Amino acid sequence: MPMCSIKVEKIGFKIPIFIIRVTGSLDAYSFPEFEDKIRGILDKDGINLMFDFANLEYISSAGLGAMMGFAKIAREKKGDLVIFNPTPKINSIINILGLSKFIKVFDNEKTALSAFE
Amino acid sequence: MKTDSIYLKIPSDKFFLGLVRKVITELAGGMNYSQDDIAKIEIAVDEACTNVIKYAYTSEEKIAFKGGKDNEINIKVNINTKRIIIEVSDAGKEFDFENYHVPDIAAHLKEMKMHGLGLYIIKNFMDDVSYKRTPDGVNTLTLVKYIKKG
Repeated sequence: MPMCSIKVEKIGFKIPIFIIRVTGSLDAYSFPEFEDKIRGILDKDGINLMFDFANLEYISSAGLGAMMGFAKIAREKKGDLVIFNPTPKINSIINILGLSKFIKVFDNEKTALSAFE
Repeated sequence: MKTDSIYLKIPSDKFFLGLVRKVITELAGGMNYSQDDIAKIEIAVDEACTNVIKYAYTSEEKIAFKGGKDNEINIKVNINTKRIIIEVSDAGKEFDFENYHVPDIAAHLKEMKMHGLGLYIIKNFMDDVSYKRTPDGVNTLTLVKYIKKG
């Protein structure tokens, strides 16, 4: 029922950046499959990740925990992880939990890209 | 003051979390809560049900409410013009609520850890949170959120 799907685009040549567009709800039900997919990207040295949350309707602590875990792995490999386009609701959850102190959140794709320049 | 109650019974399965969130947000959305408060109620109820599925019921042991089916979660929502009360009940393992200490969230996040965050969210996003276990083994976590006066 609470499904979550992702679309991955790879951009850049010298520094490959993966744009991951997330649609649906990221809760305890959908997060194991989501985690597997993102770990697959990280394992293949996709260390610069940009998450498009424009169509993410919901995120629970399981989803937020996964994001923190991915950011840690990406940074250990000298990459980074950013979030852009969150809806006001998702942005509010991220801010209330203080997650934005550890993961950069941008208003749009263009400004998010600047994090990797 | 008119008070209404809504009852929802779901199997202890993460598949149904979306349905619970839908019902809760629909109800809270029809009350005078801010969008922020609706989001807080939604995530708190989701985390409460997730905790029951993850920790109260185990796949090895099937436990039922008196006269009910195995591994069910009963959700009772009571609303009036001042607040919403959500009771999440299960017949599973007891939870040591009194001795649960909310993690130091800043330190937790600094170490990039997020586990154990569910109850932190529940306690911080709702106005009152209490837990009781009856002698016949029913656990109930009660969540209350008041409507802020404009």
